[in-house]
Amino acid sequence: MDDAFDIPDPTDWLETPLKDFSPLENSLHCDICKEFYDTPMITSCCHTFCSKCIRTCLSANGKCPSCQAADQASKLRNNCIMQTVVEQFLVARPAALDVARKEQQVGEQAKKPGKRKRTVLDSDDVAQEERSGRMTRRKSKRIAASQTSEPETIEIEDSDAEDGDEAYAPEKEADDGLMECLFGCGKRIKPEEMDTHLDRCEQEKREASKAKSRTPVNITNHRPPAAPDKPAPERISELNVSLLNDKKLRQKLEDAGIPSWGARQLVIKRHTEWVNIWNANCDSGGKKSQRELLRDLDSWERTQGGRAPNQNGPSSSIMRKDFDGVGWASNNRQDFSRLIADAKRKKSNPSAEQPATKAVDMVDAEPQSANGVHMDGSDDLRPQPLSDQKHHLPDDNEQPDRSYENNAEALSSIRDKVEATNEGRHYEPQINAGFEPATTNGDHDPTTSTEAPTTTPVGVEHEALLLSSHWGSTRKDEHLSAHLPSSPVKVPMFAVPARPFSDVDGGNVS
Amino acid sequence: MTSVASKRLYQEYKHLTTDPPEGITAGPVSEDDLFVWEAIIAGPEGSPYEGGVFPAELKFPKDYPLMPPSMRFLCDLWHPNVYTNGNVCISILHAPGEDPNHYEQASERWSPIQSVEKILISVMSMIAEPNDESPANVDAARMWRERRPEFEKRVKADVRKSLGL
Repeated sequence: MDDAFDIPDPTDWLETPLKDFSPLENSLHCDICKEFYDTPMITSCCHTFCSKCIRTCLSANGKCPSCQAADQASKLRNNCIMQTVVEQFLVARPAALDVARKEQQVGEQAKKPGKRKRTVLDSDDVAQEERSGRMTRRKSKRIAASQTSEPETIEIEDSDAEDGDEAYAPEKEADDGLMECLFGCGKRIKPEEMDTHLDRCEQEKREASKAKSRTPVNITNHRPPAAPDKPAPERISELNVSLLNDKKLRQKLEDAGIPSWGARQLVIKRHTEWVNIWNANCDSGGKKSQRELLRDLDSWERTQGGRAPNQNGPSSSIMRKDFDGVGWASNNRQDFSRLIADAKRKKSNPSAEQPATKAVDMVDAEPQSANGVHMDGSDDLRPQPLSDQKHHLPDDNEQPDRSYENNAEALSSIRDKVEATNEGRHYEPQINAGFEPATTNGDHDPTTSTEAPTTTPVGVEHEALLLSSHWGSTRKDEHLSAHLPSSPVKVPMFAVPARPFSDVDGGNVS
Repeated sequence: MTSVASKRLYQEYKHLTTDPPEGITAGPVSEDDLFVWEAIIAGPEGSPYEGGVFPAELKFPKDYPLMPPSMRFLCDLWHPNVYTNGNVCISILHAPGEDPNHYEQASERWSPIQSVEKILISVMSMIAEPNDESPANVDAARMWRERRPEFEKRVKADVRKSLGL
């Protein structure tokens, strides 16, 4: 739970030398959700809250939570500067916190010299643990985690890191008669050149910070206003439910693309929530897709809406800590043993059912597709049947897999079919075992078979092409053949699937 | 699955564990369910309740923080603003729309900007300074108003009993 919910908190600052950052961070928090402002909006009474939070409150009772003044969601305005401040604070926070914690450890160690063997025990966690008896296990874990996980963010030399001036001051004492740049760019300049340098330095710094800040800002929130390719979504208004009868109300929800089931009261609540979710997204410039918004609505549905767990007792979706596993097992012993037996039976003969039904399907499919398709004889277009390896046809002559080579029966059946298709007559699939080997040393010539398409109607050829690509993908499923029985089965060599298939690549099927 | 309510409750829990106000401890009874908390309030110094430890249960609604939690003491607490069944009657726990006694300022009542911490601090100060304008426990209120020494004696006896002394 700790890891899943590791939230930055103002109390993180309290035990560091920068404890004044705690109220600062607190003031960047929304008073409703107690988290950093997300799309802050300012009310008519000049209070600021997250867009979603204040919209939810106003839709519930139409009053500002801070001062109880009446207000309307339509009067909310973006508090853009607060948004920027929060974003920038979040960018600066990890490094600043790291510096503060380092500083604090240094201070701690200086305070108690020689009390223990520092060389051995000089671990950050130990120092942390010792310093504060009140610290919880969770916190020390978190501190340790943050120290191990982001050591690279420590930038002690950065004078912007609120480190205080005392650590910085001694460095100024250098006897070369030069002054360090007041903006902290690190350069040393003659005092008389300082003014011109400062102008330039300031300019550079501003540009650098602009470039630096652009990335994080874009990641967290801002979309450039009015992106030309995607117009900002428009806000929707709340329904005047008293004017709508049940049917019309549900229709409205369906029009909006949200579920319309449940009692009237629930439907109204759901629509209100949807309006809030939607408009909050509008406030943020539409950074979420409709799919994400629907997911948000669904999560509302599961926590507060129609599918919320019963108010009494813990939610049913979570297993209780004191769940009586033994009791449950004994109560349901019968069901469990039946399931186990089922699974064991399936495991012992995995090939029994599935492939058999497949073979039957293929045979059943045969009569409908018997016309025309069999004439396709060209080797590269030939579909690979889902049968035993022995019946695989060569894709081309380079193919190393020639398992059919010594199988006279298979070879004969292949030749039979090739001849049949070359002559343009229908080939009647039969049980392969019933075939007599016709010629044992007749060479299989792929060039002869390539002539076949000339006799094939164009549509059929096209279909065959699609077919081959279709089979091509299934051919990779080599494991399928392992499940098939090794005895010859009634599988037609030139079958098309019973169902028409759609071209997933997006090409047009004529 | 995290709802707005559970996220905020977790945030408050974290805040209360790292920086608890004096004399107050609170947290979910079980990590499986963030909507039921137990709080322990120490009797305020300088009041007859001093030295006592009062456990209470907080139950949060699904639409917290829009709606306030309910609070009930799990021990006997002889107090004008605590019902005999332990339920606490305090304005901060009353939803904005409801005002059972028609005397509360809207600003005193629940609003989403309040928090568990503020509730518990309010309850602590309520324990120290009963409000007898709208008593939940009329007998206790009358005793508090008319026979203060007896009231204090009874409370102190309760505290000692609860501590097993």
